[in-house]
Amino acid sequence: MTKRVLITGASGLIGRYVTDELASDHHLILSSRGRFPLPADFSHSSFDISRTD
Amino acid sequence: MIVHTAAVTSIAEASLDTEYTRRVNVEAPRENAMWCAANNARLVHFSTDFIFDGTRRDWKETDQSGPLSDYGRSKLESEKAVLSTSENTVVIRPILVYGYHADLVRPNFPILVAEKLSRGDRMSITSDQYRMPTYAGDLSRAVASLIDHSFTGVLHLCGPDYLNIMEFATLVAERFDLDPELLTAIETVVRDGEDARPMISGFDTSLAANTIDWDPQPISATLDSVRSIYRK
Repeated sequence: MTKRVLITGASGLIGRYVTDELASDHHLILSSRGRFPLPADFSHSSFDISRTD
Repeated sequence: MIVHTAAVTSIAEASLDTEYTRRVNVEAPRENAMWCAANNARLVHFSTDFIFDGTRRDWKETDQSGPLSDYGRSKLESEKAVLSTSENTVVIRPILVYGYHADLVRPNFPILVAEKLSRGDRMSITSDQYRMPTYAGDLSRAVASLIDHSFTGVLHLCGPDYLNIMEFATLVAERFDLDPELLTAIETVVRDGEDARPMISGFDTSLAANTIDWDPQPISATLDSVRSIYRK
């Protein structure tokens, strides 16, 4: 089942690998660069960002 | 779900500005844990072997911590912060993570060795610090397997090979067809004002093996994978 996953540190080594791995599993990825605090609608069904970096 | 990998990871940088390190390494993950607790979301938080004191190669998740550096202390505090804030939390402790991605800002150890040796530069490498390095590809697959898993708590994840840093560099030279004669073994020297690094660091990964079938690849195979995608 597709999950919405926020990855902090997505520009770092672990973040890159995790992003690629989860994206290949068709999970929806949001990186957090410049996005603290977390977007208020992260848990809502309207959340549809597939990948930003 | 949140996967929290962001951190100040440099020993020197962490000591230079402990307040900033605390904000990044402790308060940010605590905020994430609060959000997860409020939204019934899962948190995977990355920590480090530097929460231990560098005297064993078989640390278990339940062993007594003893960080030697401001960095290690901040990560230990981060673990306590997230675990006490949100129940649905996994803390992963890896060791000396390596891999390659084309647009990484900072090279990790084997890439640094490959870059320098490719240029014909000499390198002095410590031969008295031992590690069980962790391949980022194995780590990312572990995260994927934890998404829908019920496990909560601390997991030790590291590679199967125990070697010193000089041996690691020599292996990189061999797998990348570079000249190992450019490498010189030295002993660790901790300068005044510097935080110490663990001399010996390794994990008992039996909990991870039993929980998520953790079965990391041998280091030589992972270095071949890294080389295959490494472009210079």
